[in-house]
Amino acid sequence: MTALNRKLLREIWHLKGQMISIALVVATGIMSVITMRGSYETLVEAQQSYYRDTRFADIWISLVRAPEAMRENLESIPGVETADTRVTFLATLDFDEPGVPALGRFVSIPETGRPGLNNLLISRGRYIAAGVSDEVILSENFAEARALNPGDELHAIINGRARALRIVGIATSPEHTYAVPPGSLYPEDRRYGVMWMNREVLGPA
Amino acid sequence: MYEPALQHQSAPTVLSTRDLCKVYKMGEMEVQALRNVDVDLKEGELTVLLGASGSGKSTLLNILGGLDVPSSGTVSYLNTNLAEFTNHQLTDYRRLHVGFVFQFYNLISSLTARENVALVSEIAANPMTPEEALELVGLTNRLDHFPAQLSGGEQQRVAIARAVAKRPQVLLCDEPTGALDSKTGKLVLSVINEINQTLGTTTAIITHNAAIAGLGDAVIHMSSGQIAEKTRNAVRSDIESIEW
Repeated sequence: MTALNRKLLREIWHLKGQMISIALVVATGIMSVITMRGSYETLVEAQQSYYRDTRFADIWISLVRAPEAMRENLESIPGVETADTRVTFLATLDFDEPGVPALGRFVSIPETGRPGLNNLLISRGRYIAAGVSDEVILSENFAEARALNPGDELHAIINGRARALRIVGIATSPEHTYAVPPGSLYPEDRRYGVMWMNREVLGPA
Repeated sequence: MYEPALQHQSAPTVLSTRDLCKVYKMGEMEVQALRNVDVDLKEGELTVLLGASGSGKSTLLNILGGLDVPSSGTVSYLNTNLAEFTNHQLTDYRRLHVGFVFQFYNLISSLTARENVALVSEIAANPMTPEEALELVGLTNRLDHFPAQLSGGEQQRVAIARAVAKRPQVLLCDEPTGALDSKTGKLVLSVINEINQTLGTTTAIITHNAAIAGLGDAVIHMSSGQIAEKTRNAVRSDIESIEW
């Protein structure tokens, strides 16, 4: 070993306290980066997997009183793999409490099968039954904020008419992961929720 | 003053300067460290450079040793002009041909005496072994001691061993006894003297101790960056006769 290498090794040995500290800081930094990178990749993979499994849509188009026949036109556009249609509107929810009323975003779902896009993940209860007009599925955050469960009843003012709805399921949707009421910047889970109901019921509304 | 009649003519010149000037610029101010200096170091001779602090001795030695470059004039080493050397050539010159001894030893504290000398012998072309070099300075029994375990005189002798291990043509000593008491200083001078006489290494010693002048073949007195006087000793003094 050359004298210069001996010098280097001896001086490192004399500074072993600092060297160990530096090594630990570097090791901690590397571990943090690896851990954060791993978490990030896992989260991205989970997100992609969730979007893939629920067939999260890429594009939304709002139309007023569009005929169902439009769907075929939409699917014929080059690059469009699948198109789905639904009826959606805001309605006041009647909780018999003072203050600003709660709002529900009603979204139609087919009574047989599942939505072609933006499918629901039912966390509790079940999907709506065919031919039953008062069944509703609630978004999970709203249900938790209001302590509502499958089997409970919910009152909504739809087109000026009070309707009693029976909660049959609690679900999440990739479309409403971050449910923000109209005119607000942040989610208000006690005041705003998403309700999925039979297309045949909401369609005429 | 310079007396040509006293110039030693027989030995060939190893290092010489002609019209050597060195100017340091400090902002707008210029400090003339050397003014038209002409010196000759003859082969195998011991030259003593005498002068007060600030007289330009160290500047001259640094230029002779390739540690600094002149502002003007020539520095010839065996008929090659150091003033025209590139940095790379100057590095080779210092590495292969010049040994330095400094006032404060400049030993590496984390290396033993043997390893301090090995630093040089590992990169020189035809070196002595560290053990041989340390034997020359009488430190055979201190090979594996660290600088902190050695006295000032012993440290300076290790520095001398390190300087001569490469078998340099020229040994340049800048105040080698400046940090030592008289007894230890004499011991260090005797080692330098012996190396000069046994190895025939051309040697220059800077000092402001006039008593050391008798030790050299040639004595150069410097003042304000100029050569004030050059003398030669017909007979070199015995070290023991030197009064501090």
